[in-house]
Amino acid sequence: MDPTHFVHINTGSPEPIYRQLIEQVKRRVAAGQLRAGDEIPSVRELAQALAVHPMTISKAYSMLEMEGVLERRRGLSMVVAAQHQKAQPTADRVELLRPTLEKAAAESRQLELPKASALQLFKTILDEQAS
Amino acid sequence: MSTHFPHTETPSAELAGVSLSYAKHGPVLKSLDWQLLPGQVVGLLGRNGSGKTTLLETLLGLREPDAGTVRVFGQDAGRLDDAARARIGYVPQQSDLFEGFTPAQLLAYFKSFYPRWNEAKVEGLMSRWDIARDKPIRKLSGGQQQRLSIIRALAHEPDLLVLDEPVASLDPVGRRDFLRELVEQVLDRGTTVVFSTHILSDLERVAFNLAFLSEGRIALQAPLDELLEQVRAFTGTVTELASLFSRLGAQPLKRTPLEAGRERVLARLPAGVAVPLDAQAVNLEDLFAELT
Amino acid sequence: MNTAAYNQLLLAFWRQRDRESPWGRRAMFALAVLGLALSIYLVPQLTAPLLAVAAALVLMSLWTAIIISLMQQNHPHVARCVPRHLRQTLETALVSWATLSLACAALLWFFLQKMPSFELLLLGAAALLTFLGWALREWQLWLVISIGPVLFFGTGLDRRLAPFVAAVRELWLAQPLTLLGLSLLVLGWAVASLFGKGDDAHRASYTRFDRIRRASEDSMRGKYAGAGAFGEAGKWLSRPFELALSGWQRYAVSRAEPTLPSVMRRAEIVLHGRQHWLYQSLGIVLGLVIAALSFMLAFALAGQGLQENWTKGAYGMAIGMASMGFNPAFGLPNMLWHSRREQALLRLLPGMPQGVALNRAVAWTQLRHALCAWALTTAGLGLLAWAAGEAALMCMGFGALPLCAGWLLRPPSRMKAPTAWATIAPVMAFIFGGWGMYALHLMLHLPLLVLASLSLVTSVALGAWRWRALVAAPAALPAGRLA
Repeated sequence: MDPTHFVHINTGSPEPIYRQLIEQVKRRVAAGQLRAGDEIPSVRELAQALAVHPMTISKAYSMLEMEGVLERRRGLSMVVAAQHQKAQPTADRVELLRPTLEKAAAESRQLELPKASALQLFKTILDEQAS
Repeated sequence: MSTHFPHTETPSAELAGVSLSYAKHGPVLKSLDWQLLPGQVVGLLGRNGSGKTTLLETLLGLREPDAGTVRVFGQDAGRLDDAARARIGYVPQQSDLFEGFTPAQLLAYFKSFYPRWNEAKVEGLMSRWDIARDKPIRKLSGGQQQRLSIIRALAHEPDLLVLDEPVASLDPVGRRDFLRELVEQVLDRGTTVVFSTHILSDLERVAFNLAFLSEGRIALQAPLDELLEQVRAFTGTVTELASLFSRLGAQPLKRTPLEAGRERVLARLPAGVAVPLDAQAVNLEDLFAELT
Repeated sequence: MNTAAYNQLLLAFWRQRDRESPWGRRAMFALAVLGLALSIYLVPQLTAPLLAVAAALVLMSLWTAIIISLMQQNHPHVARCVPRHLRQTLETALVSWATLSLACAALLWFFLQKMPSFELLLLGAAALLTFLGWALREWQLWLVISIGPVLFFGTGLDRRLAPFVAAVRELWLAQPLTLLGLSLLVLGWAVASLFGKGDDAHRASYTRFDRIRRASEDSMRGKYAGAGAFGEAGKWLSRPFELALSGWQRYAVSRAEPTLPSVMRRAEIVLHGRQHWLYQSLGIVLGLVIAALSFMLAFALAGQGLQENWTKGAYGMAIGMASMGFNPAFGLPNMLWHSRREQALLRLLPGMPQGVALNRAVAWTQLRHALCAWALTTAGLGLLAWAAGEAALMCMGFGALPLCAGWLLRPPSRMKAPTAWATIAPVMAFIFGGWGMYALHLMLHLPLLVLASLSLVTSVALGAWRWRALVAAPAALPAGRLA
């Protein structure tokens, strides 16, 4: 696994880097790009590749471990946790969309749109992308 | 989040009540307190002319404060002994120093003073960064000079690394390379790093803590992650916001009055408190603009 | 006509004068006036010509200042991008040249009782000003002027060109105005070609000029750039010096120990830069070799008269030797200011002394350098005094000793940026000291031994007082931070 392209960091964003790391790993696991038992770059490798403070990487990894996404093995690098044999059930994956939808909801409130129009637009976009 | 802080008792460096003023410019540092714990990577942020260089020079004992104490590794900064100085690395803002020397001469010169010198690392960096060894330093480009300055500071494997705008002349690839070197230093040796730079994207990656220098004091020092998560910009009338803050237990950091009794306040919420949705998130650039 | 642009161009040299150090300028001015007054006092019958010559010299210095400033303003980018700038610069230069030539010529013609014809004086003044303008940019011309005449007359070229010279003189006497007009046209064209229009040739010549100008400004502030400022030839000349210093540095680094002498030996290389004792000694050796060679050449060429009477020039030689020997040492404190940023890094080196030990070490390094130079130069002066039988020459040595003690033992932490005054002051003090001693010897007939002990006692007392103050001062390095 090439650590340089493992995740993509955006600086200048209001989202801390460790959060970006967590979200990206979760998304890839949920989408099935990372399967159970896949090796994750070590803290050292990833810190050097991205030029990021190792504490940040280690913080992200610890939180992912707490949430059960990653698993620590003694003496070896971390791996994706075993329960993610296949892609997560829909219900859990949908939850990952929550942050983006919350932002969209806030904007729609600012624009004072009726609920139906916003939902209509979302449906249209999904239809467009599906085709 | 304090478990992510390296915890030890003795600070690497400590400034207490430091005041310094120049005859022509007036007070620069006003009763400043600052502490650097071992292993911390601190980014020093401040406007041009706010005294960052003066602060770093005072930290290293190169300037005497008018009042207050400066201690590095537990010793008075103006009278560091040989062992302490062997553990300090400094990259000053100007990189065209020793312009009559060649890089080979410069490195040999400095090597003769230090008890510990990592020749392998120096060779590696010199060839990786492609620095001509026998060309006088005044003939090198600005970027090469800065790289040489960095190599010189890292060669003796310091425990405290002080960097004053170390990458101003480097292109983005050069900066990324330098940050990787820093990360390796931190990983390998737990070096304490203080650096001042205006390139915020670099700070975001490597600095775990930020110190904001404003009006002669360190206005705020906190981990960057916490600041990004807990600080929000609120807009509203003075009374609305006051009640909101007392309800949330928020600490206002900077107030900017707007028209008609409204104001915009940058406030820090306590950890774990739910963030109101209409509060604006801030990034590092906003923090810099408001807090320095 | 819009005179604003012309005003700016012309008066730039005055507006950009170094306001930080007016005393250097005022001292030079005072000296000049003093010299003039003295000459008038000594030779009253030549008052008018002396005044005229003095005024002409003033006008020539004015021209020098103006043309340097105009050449400096003729930057390639400005010449290309600012509308009409080049044309206005040319006009200003030519008008100044014409006015100042006319003024010089008129002054001299009027006061020299109309002796040489006005046309000749005008041609001479114009030619001199043109030459000055060109020599300020192409320093090689000075060499040509100093060596040229010797070669010209020595190799008998004057005889071979005699008929040509006679023909020109004939032409001049017949048609002075035409010849004058033509020559002035040529000279004016030469002045105008000092300025470029922003192309590559201009860029190259501007770089050359700028380098020399910067080097001379720096040397006014005590920072000597070495012969490298003079382009490729200069760099080639200074190679041996730099090789010698590299060798010394290699030696010091390879013999490095944590002891104080070893540390200060290495630190001295950085602290004193181009005034390091090795550079200075090699420079003096080179100077002595050149002087000896010229002396031998003059001896061989001039024959008996010179060989018997060379002692008459002993004063001049003594002054020359004393300047060569004493003055470089006085520039050492300025080098501390110029290397102050490197000193920040030196302070952080393990092994460098701290606090009082640092003050002592730095002061002793400088004092030792100055005292060695003083001892060697005074020995040289003694040799010259013995050879010329004129013991009073030693007075210069006596005058310089207190200066070493006083000038070199100032606390570096409180130094201000060196200005022209700081560079000139010790030299002037040395001149006054030396001449003062000599005057005392002559007028009061004080024996030399008394003068020597006076000088020694003053130096020791001054030195002790300054040393105590210096040791109590804040840390010497980095210099100039508490100014």
